[in-house]
Amino acid sequence: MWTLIKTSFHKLGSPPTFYAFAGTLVPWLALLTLGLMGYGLYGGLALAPADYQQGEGFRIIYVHVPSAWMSLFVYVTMAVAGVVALIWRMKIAEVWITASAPLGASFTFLALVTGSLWGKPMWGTYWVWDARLTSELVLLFLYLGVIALNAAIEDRRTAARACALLAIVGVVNIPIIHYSVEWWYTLHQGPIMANPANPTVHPDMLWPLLMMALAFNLFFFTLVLMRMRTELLDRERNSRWVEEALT
Amino acid sequence: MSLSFLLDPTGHGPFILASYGISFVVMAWIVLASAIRGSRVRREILSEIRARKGKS
Amino acid sequence: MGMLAAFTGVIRRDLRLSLRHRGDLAMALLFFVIVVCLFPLGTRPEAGLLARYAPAILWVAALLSTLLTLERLFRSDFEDGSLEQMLLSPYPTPWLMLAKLLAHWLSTGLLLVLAAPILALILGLPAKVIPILLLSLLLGTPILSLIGAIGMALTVGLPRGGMLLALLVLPLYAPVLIFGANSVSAAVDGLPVQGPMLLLAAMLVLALTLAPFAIAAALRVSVE
Repeated sequence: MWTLIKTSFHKLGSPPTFYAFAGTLVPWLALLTLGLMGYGLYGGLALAPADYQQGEGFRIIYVHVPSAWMSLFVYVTMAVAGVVALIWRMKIAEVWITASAPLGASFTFLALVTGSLWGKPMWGTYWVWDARLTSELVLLFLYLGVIALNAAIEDRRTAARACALLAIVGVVNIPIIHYSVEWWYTLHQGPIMANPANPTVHPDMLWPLLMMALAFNLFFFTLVLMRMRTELLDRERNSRWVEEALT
Repeated sequence: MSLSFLLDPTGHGPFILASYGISFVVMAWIVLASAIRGSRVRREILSEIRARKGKS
Repeated sequence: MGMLAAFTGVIRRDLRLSLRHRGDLAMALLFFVIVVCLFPLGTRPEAGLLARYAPAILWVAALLSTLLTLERLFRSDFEDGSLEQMLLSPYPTPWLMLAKLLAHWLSTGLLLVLAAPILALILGLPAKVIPILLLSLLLGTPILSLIGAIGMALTVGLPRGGMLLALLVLPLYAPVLIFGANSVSAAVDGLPVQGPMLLLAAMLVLALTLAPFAIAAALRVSVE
């Protein structure tokens, strides 16, 4: 069993095998994503009852929280891929980082924008320097740094390895940044208490959230596999397997 | 069981629509951009392959 | 040569090179002073107003000054090939990097710390919190050098790496800025400062132990 896992892992490390494997997965993942997202949206927008304190506005949670969770998740996967890329020099791991960075940045952007749009009806202002929004903003800068570094280095291999290192350094910093911003926020606590999530969540409000989170997750996987395939073709354009795969 | 938020008297409606709207736009853009880049790269490589085959 | 001799050897070499380029050190210091002095010009020079923002102004100016001095850290060694020599030497690269960073901090961060009290007084910071300011900068500027060096190691081979360096490194500086500047603000308000100070010290220890390895790895990626 263990050897089976190890051999499949090693086989997937080869670009042509991964390309084919990802190619078969993508359509299924896309279908699942659409299905889950549709059902989650239905549950969140139509079925879930209005919140006692926040009224209808709380429904923004169904896009805000999944975006925020994904923004963190994607960065962690980038860091893990970074470790694999640097230690085992796996090309697939390098390509994962390059492909996921813009996706993670988009999720972070969405988390910030939806958080801001939630803030206006809830707290009366579009932006508030609360702990979560501020940490999320710094996370956006970290993503942009990875994207910029990737764009600045000519050689694709060196670029990926540099980004791998940056992702690892960044992931160590994320809890530190989050904690420091929280500390800073409690020090300067204004009259506004920022706590959009309910302490005890009604189950009818909860399951659409989990469904949307799963849908966002599958969306990410669909897209990262799509982008990795493109990236692999780009990097290996002169090789035999690319010629065979495209003709 | 209704899309009650659209008729929400407290006025949260536009914010909800904006949030979902921008989420949809960003996700659609990601999909389109990735697909367009994918097809562009494939076309480039195919023309390179044809050029190579043509020369030999 | 033993490990200690290699360590002190690198420090002595780098310090000697810094002294030869005294102008660069003076420029970094002058930059720090000018940036701090620009803030009163951008707003009303009321003592109370400036004093409230003094910790932030001093700290942000220190961040930016450190960024500028990072160029010197690896650039000339990269260009004349001595960086490669260091990577190939029998001594562990992280150890040598620690030595380089100590020399770097002695010729830049330490100068900022020494200049800070006068600038603090100019901004109207109460004299009694200046020791706290000094302690926060003393703990913080080495962290800035260490983290900044990781960024510099990643971008040393790139033609216009300066802006990219800032983009990479400034978000990582956020926690240092938060604890450093806010510890001084807390002191002004009479609140306890042990918390943020201990956290700064903890970050320094973390940076001292981990950054050299990250820097060595980054250099290896950049140089090959």
